[in-house]
Amino acid sequence: MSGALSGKKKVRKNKIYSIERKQARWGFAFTVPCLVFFAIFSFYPIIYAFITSFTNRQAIGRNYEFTGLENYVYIFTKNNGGFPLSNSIRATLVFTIGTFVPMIVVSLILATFMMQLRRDRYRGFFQLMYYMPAVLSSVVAAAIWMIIFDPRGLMNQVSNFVMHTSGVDYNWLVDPIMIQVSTIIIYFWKYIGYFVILFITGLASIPPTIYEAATVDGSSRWHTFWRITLPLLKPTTAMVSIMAMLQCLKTFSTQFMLYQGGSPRAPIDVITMNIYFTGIRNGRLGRASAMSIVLFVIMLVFTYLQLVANRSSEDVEY
Amino acid sequence: MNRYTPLLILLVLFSFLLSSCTEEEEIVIQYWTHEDGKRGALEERLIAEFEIENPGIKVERTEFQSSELIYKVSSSMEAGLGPVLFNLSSEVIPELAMSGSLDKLPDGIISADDYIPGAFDAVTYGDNIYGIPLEYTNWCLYVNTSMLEEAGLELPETWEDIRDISLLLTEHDGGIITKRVFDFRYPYYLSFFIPMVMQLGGGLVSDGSFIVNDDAWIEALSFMKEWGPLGDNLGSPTLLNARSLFNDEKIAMCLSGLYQEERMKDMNPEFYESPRWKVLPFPSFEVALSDVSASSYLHFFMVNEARSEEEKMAGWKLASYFASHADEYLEEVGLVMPLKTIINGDAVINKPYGSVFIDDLKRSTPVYSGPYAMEIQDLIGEAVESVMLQGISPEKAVAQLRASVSYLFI
Repeated sequence: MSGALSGKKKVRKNKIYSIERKQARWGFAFTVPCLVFFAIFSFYPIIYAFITSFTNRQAIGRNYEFTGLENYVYIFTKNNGGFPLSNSIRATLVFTIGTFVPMIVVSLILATFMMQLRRDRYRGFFQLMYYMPAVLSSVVAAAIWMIIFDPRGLMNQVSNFVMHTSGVDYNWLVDPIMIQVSTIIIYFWKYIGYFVILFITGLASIPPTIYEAATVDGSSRWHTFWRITLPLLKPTTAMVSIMAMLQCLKTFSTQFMLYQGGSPRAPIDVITMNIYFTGIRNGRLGRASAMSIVLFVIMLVFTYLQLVANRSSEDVEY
Repeated sequence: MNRYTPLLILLVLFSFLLSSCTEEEEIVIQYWTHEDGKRGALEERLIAEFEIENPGIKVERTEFQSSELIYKVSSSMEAGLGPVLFNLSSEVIPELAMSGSLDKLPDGIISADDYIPGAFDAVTYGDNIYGIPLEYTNWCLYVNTSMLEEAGLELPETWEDIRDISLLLTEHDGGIITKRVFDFRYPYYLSFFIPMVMQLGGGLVSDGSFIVNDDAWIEALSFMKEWGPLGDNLGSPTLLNARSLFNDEKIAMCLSGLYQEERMKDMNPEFYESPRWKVLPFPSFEVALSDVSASSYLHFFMVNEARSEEEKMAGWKLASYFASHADEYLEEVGLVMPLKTIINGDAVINKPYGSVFIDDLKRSTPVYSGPYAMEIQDLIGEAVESVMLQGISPEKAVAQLRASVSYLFI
């Protein structure tokens, strides 16, 4: 009897093992294309850029030599033909902080507002309206906003109306401060809908029974939001904030389009734009690679800090 | 398995075999060029004729924005995928030529004696020539005379005249420009701003040192500062380019080449046929120390060194075929090839105000086409725009420009 039982257990164990193995095999098969894709188009370029950053490679040169840390010393100590990396780091940080903090706060508020809407079609309408700019290419978005920011455009009219002035040009595309504000507005407008959708997904995954229990206990809406919604939304907030921050650090096309339209480069010379100009326009691939490695490290550090910050406070589970 | 399946497979394989056989025989020329109004239509026609005359050659013509073409060419060459034939302007050629990316012009393709002296200077390195000229351009001042006549104003001759006319006729709503009178051709600073500096006694490069004569630069930059939004607010690099507005009679003056006439004819034939416009010489400062007009520049057809011998020869053949139709380039597109028969003949003179362009060419200097020409142009742009848009003093902008240019050579 006991022998028969142990035999059954063995068969069961084998079965589980074989099913797990089968699933793992399929899982692996489905993951392989992604891994290959990542290896070819992401990992290989990163390694290649890392190696190139230690050379004096030029865009149209046949030969190049190993130069050690020369490129890194250069980008941190020289002004790189009038466009130093230090200014690019400043421009990138100003843009990132100016965009991603308001974007997280506002998208959370908008998502919460939409979740309060009783009718699905209203919610669908607002989701569509907010998400629509996200499907536009950045180039088209920048082109639209360049018309709006034109001296005779809508933005000056609105600004004059709000500020009770007449015929004042607020220099949205020209003034060093205003041009930074303009890039932030364009990016905010374009991506807010995307993050609203992510927050809505997070909010929808919170079980309604928790809210019911809170209501029965007499919790106010404000109290419920701070004590239940926000803590339970923490994983979504962490993911959205990291995604938003990385996206902001990698910004390029908005600034590039405005520069192409005649705006000054220095105030909006974000790291990616400096990489483009140094590598593609000036042909200094070695220096551009060193800059891209610096950007990579900045992104890595910020992501790590955010993960640590999110992990430090107590996790809430349901 | 269906009994017809093997037959089908054989048929598919056979068709692949056939197509690969024909591909081997055909030489494909990828020809990359910049967008240029009516030139596209002319070249498509010439290519069709060329393909009939050369059955083994197929041409794939691709257009890019002129500002992007150089970067497309250089980055594709770096990746080993560059086109067979392409055209670029003189100021972007040095890096390509010196890196060995350009094919040498084979003997017998064209006769260099047919061209005006200096036509090949920008593509000559050592004893070798690396390109065939496509166009030879200089800018003059297009004026909508009726706009000035209505205001009782005389035609301008100097930059000061242009500023005075603009001060009178530019319309503002408070601090916002609603109608401009003239604006510069940002961001082509090597073509129009360097000549302004030269008129004041300065220059870009002399004996290997850059930014010659600070006073001249400061004076030219001060003029631009007064022109911009922080000065008299007569124009700005962020506004729509003036030459596009000129054809629609929305601006009184602009700087452009002879090709502008063909574009006017195309876009606004009534205006083109009317006596309401004129072309005047490139303006000068009242206190000019040097009689210099806008810098002339050349575009060249060039061939990618990395391609096969057959492809390279086919590319040169197509370029010389284009060059042999110089009269059609002038007649249909308004492009001047620097051939003696074109420059010294009647064809250019017979174009409206053609003689103004030819006379101005005599007092022009070639655009700077030495090392880092494009980067230097960007830096000059930064200097001009920093005084115009950010309120930087001309003295500081000149010092910054000199430092930035020197860093390019480190």
